[in-house]
Amino acid sequence: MNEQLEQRAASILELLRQQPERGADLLIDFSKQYAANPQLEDEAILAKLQWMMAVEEADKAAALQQLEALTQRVVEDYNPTALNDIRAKEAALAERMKALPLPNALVLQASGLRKNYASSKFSLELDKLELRLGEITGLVGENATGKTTLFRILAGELAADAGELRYPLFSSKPKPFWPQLKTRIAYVPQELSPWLGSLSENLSLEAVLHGLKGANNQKAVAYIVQRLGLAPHLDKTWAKLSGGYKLRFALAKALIWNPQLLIIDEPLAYLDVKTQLIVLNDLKNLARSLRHPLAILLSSQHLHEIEAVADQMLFMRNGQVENLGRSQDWGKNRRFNVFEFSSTLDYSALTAALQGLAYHKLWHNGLNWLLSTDLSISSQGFLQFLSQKQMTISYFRDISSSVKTRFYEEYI
Amino acid sequence: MRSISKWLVPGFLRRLDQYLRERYPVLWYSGAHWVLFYGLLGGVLLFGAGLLYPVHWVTRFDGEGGILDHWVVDPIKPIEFAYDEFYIYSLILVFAVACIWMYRQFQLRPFFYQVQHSLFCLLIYVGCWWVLCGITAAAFRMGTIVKTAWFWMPERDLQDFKNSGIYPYGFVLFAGDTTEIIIVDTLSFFKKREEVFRRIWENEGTWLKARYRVDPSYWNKRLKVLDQPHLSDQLYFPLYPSYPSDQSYQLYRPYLSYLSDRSYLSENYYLLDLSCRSYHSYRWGRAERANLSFLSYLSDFSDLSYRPNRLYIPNPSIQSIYHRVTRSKIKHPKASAYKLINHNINFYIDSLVMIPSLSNQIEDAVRSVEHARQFSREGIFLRYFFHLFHYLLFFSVLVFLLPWVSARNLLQLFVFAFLSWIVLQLFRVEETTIFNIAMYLVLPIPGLLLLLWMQWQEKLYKLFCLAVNMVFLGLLTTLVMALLRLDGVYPTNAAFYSTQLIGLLAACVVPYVQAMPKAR
Repeated sequence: MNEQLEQRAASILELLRQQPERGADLLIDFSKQYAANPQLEDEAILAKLQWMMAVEEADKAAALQQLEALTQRVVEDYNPTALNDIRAKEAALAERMKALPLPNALVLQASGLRKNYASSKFSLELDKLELRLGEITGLVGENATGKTTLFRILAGELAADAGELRYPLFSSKPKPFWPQLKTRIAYVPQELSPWLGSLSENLSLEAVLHGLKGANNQKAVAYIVQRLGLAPHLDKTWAKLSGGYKLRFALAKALIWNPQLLIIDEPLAYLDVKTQLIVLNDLKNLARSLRHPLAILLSSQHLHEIEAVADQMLFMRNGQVENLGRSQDWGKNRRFNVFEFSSTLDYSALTAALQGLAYHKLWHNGLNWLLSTDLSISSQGFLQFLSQKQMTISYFRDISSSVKTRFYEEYI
Repeated sequence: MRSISKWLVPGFLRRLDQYLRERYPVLWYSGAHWVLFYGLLGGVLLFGAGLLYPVHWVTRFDGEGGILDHWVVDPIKPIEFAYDEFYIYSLILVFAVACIWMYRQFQLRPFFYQVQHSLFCLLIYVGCWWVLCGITAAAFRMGTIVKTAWFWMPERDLQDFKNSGIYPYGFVLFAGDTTEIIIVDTLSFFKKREEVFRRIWENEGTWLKARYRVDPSYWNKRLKVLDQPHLSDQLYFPLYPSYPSDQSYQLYRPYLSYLSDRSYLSENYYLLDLSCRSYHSYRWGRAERANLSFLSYLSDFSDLSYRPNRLYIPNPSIQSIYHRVTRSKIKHPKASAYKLINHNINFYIDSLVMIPSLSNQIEDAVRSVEHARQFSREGIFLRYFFHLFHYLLFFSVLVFLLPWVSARNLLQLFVFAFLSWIVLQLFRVEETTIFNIAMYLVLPIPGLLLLLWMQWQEKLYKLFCLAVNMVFLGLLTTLVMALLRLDGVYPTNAAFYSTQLIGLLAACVVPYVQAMPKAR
């Protein structure tokens, strides 16, 4: 094993000389996998960041030297027994964490919120909303239904005309003191404002504004940069970044200081599939973090992805906010099952093929077919039926309990 | 681009920037580290340049198709804000470079809302402007002062020039002097008259030592001794603190210097005769020539009288004596070594060009050295710093409010202020009052009230930007008027300080209001 380890270390050292950035990434994985001391991974992340940010050749060389030294230290630190102990402890801790109740302190409490725009005759109404630590709340709805307006009100960017808005975790006062409160709320708007300076400068500034100073600041920047894959873009300015990276940066800025309330408007809009998964997974883990639990409110048109992580769902239509309740309760009182599938058959061929199935309605949404059936027909039953009819489908999803059915209410 | 930036920004400054950003965000936001480094570096460079430049190098046509290169010794003037041309040039340069800093601040919005942070930021800005205006911009002049005082003219030459008597210090016309006078020995002619002069008036050194005093009571006391009823009231009630000092600069000048200025002559005569402008460099401004009336008491020469703004000699015979004296061709062997004009020049390019004659050139040279030494001894630099503080809050608040400045709003407000001014003109309001109203009431006060109202409402209204711009333009107008010495806005004027106070309050309120939720 030691020989294998040394060979791998040698290849990392070689790569560090040829492609330092790639080599540093491998070193971070290497230290995570083999170092008994978890601090070595942090040091590797920090050293990589220093290499990325160095302007002078001497600084770059010093950072590279540090990375090389770290590779050696990981090899020296390798101790299978200690490592197994750590893994076992981590697993036990994970089990214990699962068993622990969620830290569900109330973060935001809104009731009777109203906002009217006389010129466009639009009004927003929210009767009741509660956001708790450890929970993700998803907000979905058609375009121009007031999602962004609601987010802005909750984030203190826009004043409501009426209603009560309280943040019990941040302030015991009944009236919010916005200048202070806004520093406790992380808000990522849909339309991002340009920033001045490089990405790394902005991240470290955001961190220091929330009390992360000196070495902690550097660590926080290094961690979030590594986590969101921002390292190659550290010295880039606003104009040089693509839309996806701008959003990643905004997320990094919001997450770097461990906020307790995170409000994100359409976070998945510009992200690639891989990053969407990373971000959603991160949000899920962050919300339930033991050390820094977080209440998250996010909106998106990626309904299935949101549903996969959300504990609570809100649906908006024409400015009215409807609380759909907790994930386990969604679709509890539905009258139909709805299946979404893709088939090459046209409508007449499909209706002919579905003869014998007690379905309610069949319609095409422009991309897929949707079928509403009685509750007696489950997804398994529908798939079995299709199989018996030897029908080929390229896509299938049971959306009976999905918020997506709200968009098709007029068909159902 | 990257390599240029790498060359311009040293590594330690980048590291300092990162250090401040990671630990002291307000300090980092202010950009003080950039300003201090480049300001002090610029100061050192300008001081060095000043050391190489004690006097003006001037190229002129000699009137016969040839070119005449010579030094015009720059008479050292008191360093006063918006007064000394060398300081102004340096200041323009400093402002041009400081635009980079101001552009940075324009792009960055403050991320703090607490009053103590705003005040801290303003304090840093005051420091930054103090360095820029007080050290960097003044460094060139300081260089010229040091060079002129100690490294330009050896002591032996200085004494030689001083003792030559070719420059007519202390020249006093005697009652018996007539047009028939024949000057056989020029030196003895001046010496006799200088003795009389010294009895009448204190020597130059006394005034030099006191001319930077800003204490009006000192001047009242000294000038009362003279018991002259026609002394300007402005001396007793100075327009601004250093006013008596400025006046003293003219006062100390001996009698003949004042005569040779001849601004008391008619405008036409003045323009035609170049020798009349030989002291142009001393009293180059119309304003400086305007208040000579009180100088007449210095003379025991009864023929001299004064008009409201201009002294004149009614007796033409006296004029001709003077002409003969100043027009006589006097040469000094060492003058050419200092590239001083060694002869009278009787040509000019246009009516605005001043060409000093020999005697005045040498006098200027000696006087420059003497003055420069005096300035160095009395620490003019520190006195100048004191004067600067009258203006620094203006600059600081203006930079603080920059992030909210919008060209559109400024234009709208400017048009509004201009229309208000026209309306006030129609009502024939006194101009000083108009300026005060325009600066003091129409713009900054409503701007501040709007901001305070928003703070009270705890909402950010669309008028926010307009309100900030009102304060900004009010401050800017007042500052410009004060710098241009327009009526009603001197550093002792209520509008001058009140506008700064309004700006200070606005600066404390603006970040706070900005953090409020928008009303719409």
